Amino acid sequence: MSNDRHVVAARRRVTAKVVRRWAQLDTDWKSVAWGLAIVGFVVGFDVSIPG
Amino acid sequence: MPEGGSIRGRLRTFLPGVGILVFGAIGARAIATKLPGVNELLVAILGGVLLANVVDIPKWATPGIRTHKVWLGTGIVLMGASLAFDAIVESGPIVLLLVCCVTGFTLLYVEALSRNVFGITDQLASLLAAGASICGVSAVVAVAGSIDAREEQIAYAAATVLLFDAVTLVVYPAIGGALDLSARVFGVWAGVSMFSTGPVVAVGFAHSEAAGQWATITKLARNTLIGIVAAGYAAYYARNRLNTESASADDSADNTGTGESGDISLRELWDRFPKFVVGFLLLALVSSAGLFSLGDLRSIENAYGWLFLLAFVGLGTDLELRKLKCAGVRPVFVVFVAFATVSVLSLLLLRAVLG
Repeated sequence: MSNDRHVVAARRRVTAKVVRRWAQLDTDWKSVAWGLAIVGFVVGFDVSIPG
Repeated sequence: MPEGGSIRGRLRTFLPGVGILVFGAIGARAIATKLPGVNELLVAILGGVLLANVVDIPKWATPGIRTHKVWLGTGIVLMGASLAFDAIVESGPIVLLLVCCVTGFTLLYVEALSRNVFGITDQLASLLAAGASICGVSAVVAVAGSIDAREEQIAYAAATVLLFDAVTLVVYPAIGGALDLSARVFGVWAGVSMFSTGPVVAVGFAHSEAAGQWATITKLARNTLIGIVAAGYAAYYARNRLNTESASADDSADNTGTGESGDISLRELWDRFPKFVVGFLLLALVSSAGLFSLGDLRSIENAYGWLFLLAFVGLGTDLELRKLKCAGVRPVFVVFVAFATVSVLSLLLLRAVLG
């Protein structure tokens, strides 16, 4: 039980850190990150995006 | 952008505005599908203009709508995957040479016109020159930081650039159609002579897919010059300040304490470099290595089509008529004369070189 609480707390800390870093990121880098994420999504999961 | 502490907080901040962009994008596509001959990108921009000037954007939607620059950049990054790389390599050197020549000419021409003909002698001249020669409002803001421009000078220059963005969005497609320009000539012409990246991409794709790609790559090449120009201006103005200070001080005064040597650092160049070009080139390289299937490429093309629509609804909201009205008469005249000259000359040159 105590172990679970530690895991949840650690996960929250990591999420908060990622959110903070993302907020500080330059608009251009956000575009690059989104672009690569979309390509990864399309190629990795073989997703078809309708036109 | 506000910095919410949690994912849920950030979603609550941004989702309403992004939702409006998505709604506008779907609406623009639906209208363009129903009305043949009407371009969906121009409908999206018009939707944004109406939203900002007729309805007035609610405060809760503003942070999300402001994300339109991220979506434009993301669309450009994705476009890298669908470039006809061999065509770029073939025409690249000529286009690059044209970009450097036209940018340099426009910069010096606007500076000369402002200072010698229209009597604009302060930093406003440099802001107008940067905005007209490189990448619109982004260049105005980047150079403003380098030359310590005042708030009202930045507002004048930005309003002038936005005014011309609005005009060229309508005029360029009309001229392209009337002169029956090829996709390559029209795309490079828009990329080399129009101001902001968004309208260049919109006008290019409104002509054709190929023209959109040429317009975007030409504009990106132009945008990469922003670091050099901003750093050059910083050095020029810092040296001018030093000269003025040393002239007004005693001959024996020591000016080394100002800390402004006017040197350009690589760090400064990199800070102002448009980073989404890195993503664009990365995807162009991956794609040219044949790592994407035809299905992947189709999906990526559809994705950037949607992202451009989202971005252009947001771009339309930037064109607020009350802000455009605050553009002074003299800056508008300067930019009009320079723009008309550069636009006509570059079109003649492009028709001669690229046919």
